[in-house]
Amino acid sequence: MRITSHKYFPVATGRKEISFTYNGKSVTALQGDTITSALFATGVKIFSRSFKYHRPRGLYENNGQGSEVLLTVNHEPNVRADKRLVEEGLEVITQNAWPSVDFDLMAVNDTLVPLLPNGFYYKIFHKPKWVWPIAEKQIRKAAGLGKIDVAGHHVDTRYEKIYRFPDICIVGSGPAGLAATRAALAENKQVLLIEEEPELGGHSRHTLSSVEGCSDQTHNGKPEYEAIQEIIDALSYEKNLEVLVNTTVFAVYEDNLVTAQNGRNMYKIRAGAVVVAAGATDRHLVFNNNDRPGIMTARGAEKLIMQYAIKPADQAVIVTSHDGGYHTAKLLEGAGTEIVAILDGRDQLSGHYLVTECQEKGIPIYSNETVHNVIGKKQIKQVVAGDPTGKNKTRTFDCDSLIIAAGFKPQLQLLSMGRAKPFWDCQRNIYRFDTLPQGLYCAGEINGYASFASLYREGWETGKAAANGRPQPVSRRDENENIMALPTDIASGGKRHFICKCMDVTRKEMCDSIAEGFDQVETLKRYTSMGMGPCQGKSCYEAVARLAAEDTGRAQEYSVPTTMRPPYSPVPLGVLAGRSHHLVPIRRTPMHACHEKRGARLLNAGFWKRPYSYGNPQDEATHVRNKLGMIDVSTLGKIELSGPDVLDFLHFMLPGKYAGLQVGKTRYVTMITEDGIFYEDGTLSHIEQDRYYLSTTTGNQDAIVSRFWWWITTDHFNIQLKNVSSAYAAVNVAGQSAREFLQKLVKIDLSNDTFGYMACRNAQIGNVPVILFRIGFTGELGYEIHFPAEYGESIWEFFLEEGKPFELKPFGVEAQRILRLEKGHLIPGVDTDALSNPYEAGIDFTIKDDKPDFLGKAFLDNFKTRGIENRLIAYKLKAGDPIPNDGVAVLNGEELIGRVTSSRMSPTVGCGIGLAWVAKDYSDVGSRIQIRLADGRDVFGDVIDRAAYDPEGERLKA
Amino acid sequence: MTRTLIKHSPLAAISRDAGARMIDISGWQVANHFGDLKKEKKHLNESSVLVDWSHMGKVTLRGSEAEKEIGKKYPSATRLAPLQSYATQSDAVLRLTDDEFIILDPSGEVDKKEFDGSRVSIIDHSGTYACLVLAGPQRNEVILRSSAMNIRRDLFIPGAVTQTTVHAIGCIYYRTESLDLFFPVRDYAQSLYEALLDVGRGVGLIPAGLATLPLNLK
Repeated sequence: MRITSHKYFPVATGRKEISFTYNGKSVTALQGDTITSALFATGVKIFSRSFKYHRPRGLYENNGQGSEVLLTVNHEPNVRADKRLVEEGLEVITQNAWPSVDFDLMAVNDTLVPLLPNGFYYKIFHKPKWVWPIAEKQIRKAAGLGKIDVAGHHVDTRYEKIYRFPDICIVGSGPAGLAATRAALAENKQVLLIEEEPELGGHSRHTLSSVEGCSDQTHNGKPEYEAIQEIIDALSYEKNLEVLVNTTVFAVYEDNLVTAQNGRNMYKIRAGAVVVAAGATDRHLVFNNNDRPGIMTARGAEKLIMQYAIKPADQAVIVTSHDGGYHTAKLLEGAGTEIVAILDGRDQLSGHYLVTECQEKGIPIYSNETVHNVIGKKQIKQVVAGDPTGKNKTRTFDCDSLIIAAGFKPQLQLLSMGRAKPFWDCQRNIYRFDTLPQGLYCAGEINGYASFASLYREGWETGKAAANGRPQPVSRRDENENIMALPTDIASGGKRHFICKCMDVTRKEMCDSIAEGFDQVETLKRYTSMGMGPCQGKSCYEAVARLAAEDTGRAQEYSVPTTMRPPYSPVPLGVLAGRSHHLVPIRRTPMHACHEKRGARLLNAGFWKRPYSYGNPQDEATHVRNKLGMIDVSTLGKIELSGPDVLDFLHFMLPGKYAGLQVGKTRYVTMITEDGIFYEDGTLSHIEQDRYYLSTTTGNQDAIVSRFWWWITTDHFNIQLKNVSSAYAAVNVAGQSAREFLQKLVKIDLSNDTFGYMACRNAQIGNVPVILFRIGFTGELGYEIHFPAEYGESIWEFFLEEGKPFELKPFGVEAQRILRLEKGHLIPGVDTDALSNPYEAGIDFTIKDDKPDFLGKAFLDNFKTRGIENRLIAYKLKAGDPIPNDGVAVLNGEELIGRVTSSRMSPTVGCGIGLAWVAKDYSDVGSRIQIRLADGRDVFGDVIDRAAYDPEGERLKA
Repeated sequence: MTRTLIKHSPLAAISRDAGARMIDISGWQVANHFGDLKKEKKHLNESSVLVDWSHMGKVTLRGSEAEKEIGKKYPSATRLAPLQSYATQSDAVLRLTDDEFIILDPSGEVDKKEFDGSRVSIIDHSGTYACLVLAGPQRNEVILRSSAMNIRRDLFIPGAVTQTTVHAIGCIYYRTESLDLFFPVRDYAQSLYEALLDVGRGVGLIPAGLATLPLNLK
């Protein structure tokens, strides 16, 4: 049904052919087609089956809003096919029907379901009890639209979030939107213009009527489709204008935050002002069988003709209540459609030239008549006409299409979004707004139908007001621009008067629901689900509100639509979620590439990626005990503290005493919160006179720095704090040949006499300045070497090269955990929690509570007075016993007495070892604890005196 | 003989993996180009490029007397309000807060002698912060896909500085007439680099080297 020419406008030719498949069959489309226009052109009339009754549904509004054309495209369900442009190779299939939309066995619902009461699933199937689980399963199976892509065809789909910050954001590009754009640009504002369609222009692109009386006189006398194109062409030179087409604004929030979807992209727009010129769509008319394929809105039909060059029907009846219906008739007639009749609901015809033209062409016109019923199932065959009250049938017409031009309902959703309530304007016969939140404006048909000139004027005034921060201009309409409202439901008998086509809700169901007590529009909506379907009430909001008022005895002026909430149209969750890949940044150590090169398995430690191991952690641990190992400890926190008040600051922030810590010495330190909880440990080194270097664990470094800064600021300590955590990389070299290895690389004497356990010194390796610490977490002779991060890769590879004679190998975090557990060293946050006090954790040797004051002192005094209730103990299992998981319970019989915090197999000791919190009575060395494994079995461990390996520390201090 | 070890930009490894030809500049190993210099220049002129300038010298001065100290070397910088910058022929000073400045020196070595004995915290962050540079006409579009920050050029003007979040990574952001410079902590540099390249693909962003965009703040 393509047309190559039209009587009244030039049809575009030469469009490229595109192929796609529809239910497996190849279809040829033309470039610029939507899926539905392409299919319609090939004769497809039924695009879907309705949600509940499985009634056949065809193209209706043709504007990307209705549920009639939801199809599965490339495995993506519920795509609005009258909005999606065809692309080469698309795979399109119908949904919600079996075996096909043309012959759907589920259509039996159309006979059965109306016999059931509203919300039948709430009311029946509950007795006997066993029925409901079965019924629920079947109902769920039958309900719903489309099938989710469980095969994961879209798991790699990219979604973007894009930001914009225009002065003025204009939504809609009809005459009003474009005029508002021009006005804002004239005020030198940056403008973002958003249009849902592929091309700007709105419905004026499909309008033949001449422009008359426009303030921009260059357009007068020209057809609207030409005038609008002139405006669009003129805007293409504007530097301050950005245009987004194919973009749907789906919400307008407070502070002028506008969110829009463009394919897989989500735009977040923060605008100085927002002008909504979203226009209006054809009014939804309710009558018997008002959902049959072949019934189409006037603008839907006009768009088919002028945008896609398709003849919508062979024989059409037009039902109208304004002169616009005659414009539709002219377009149809020009495309070759036979106009069987025009049913005009007005008592008297207007003298508009289009009416006269239709009369002159001999088209039968019947005033004070409207549609009562349509006959035909998969395609209408006849239209039954009668008076607007529905009482008197007058005549029947044979036709294949019924075009509805019964006025317009504004697209209020974006203006409303829960922020304002529309009212019924008795002159214009529409719901609209007269007041809007600050910064939000509206213009155009959203305020009611008007001529091109009126829309242009209103858009211009609104654009100026928005650009200058003035209030919303008062909307004006001429008397002849008001369109009468036909009765929303033509009460002519029959039971298939669909109010909400998305959810298959009929007038009868509404009346029944009101009779059941749901007599407020909001409760009606929730009970019947009207307005809750894919179109989110865009088609039916006006009909729902008007009929709800009518059926509950309220006057029209007191009727209100249900609250309109975001999103304006269905938005894929992927668009809302955006990219996930970068939501969690990755933190890499300076040696990260070296670890990857050696095939390290990485683990997440906060944002950090750390080497878990380079092979087998047990082997790595054994290698450290027997040979020489090296671990990347760059993730440690590193803080330099200096200045006159540094010692006072340390004494206040940390629980120990440090006046005796000589230059060149390091000490184990703990950190306590204000409420006495042990939350962190590390080492404090006196590097130079009044210059200290504090190392902390990986996880707490940022919190510690923040805490330090807070106290420096509030208590005015005269110190300098340098957070050098990222400035320095660090490695720990551990093993009995560590000294021999390192001595080769540095000039300072590393012998035990001059550089003993817990010593620190500045040194140089090659050209790199380093700080050496004789400390070790592993229990072996070891050195921690800190150096500028930019040398990370070089030092790591240099050490591995130089360490070959010593069989130096890298080891990972898991081996380190085994080694430290063999020594009984705890890790704050792993072996402690938010209730752990230092006395119970066994690190009270770091507390010097005879100091006058320090953070947490008062609470520590309380803990001390209270005494020990639980203890962190080390334990050892018997050789061959299974290894408990971290976190399992410690029991006495069936009484819970504690929990395991760390548990590993020790390759050195040859049995399971671990740390556990247990009640004090079970914590003495030599006590036996009962550990419940995850599988329910118990193992028994002996409490030991912290270190299972080298308890005297001889190897560490060697 | 003392072994000379080289410095690596935090992006050196990922650049090498992407086929970059590396060069040594002032002891740093950085990407010179990625194999097709012509293509990089074309993108620089027509779309956008992302270049690693991490080897630039960066020194921070922090403390209540930071303004006084910075005035010793850069008298004009004392007049800067927070989040403004001052550029000389060879280097630039960014004022981050009332009491924190950062000196950028393309030579890679900021001379700190003039601040000796001062009471402010002076840290050479050359190795701490990476420096990722966006250049080319499409660079705004890359940033608008990476940050919720309003970067309109009439509001965030050349010379402006801010501390913001780009792809959930905190960084110092400095804008010049033709460049947008991001200074994340080096630990996050690769993550930010990958994220910018990822979102920038749609607008023609490619990685480029110093041969395409030599380090020059002017």
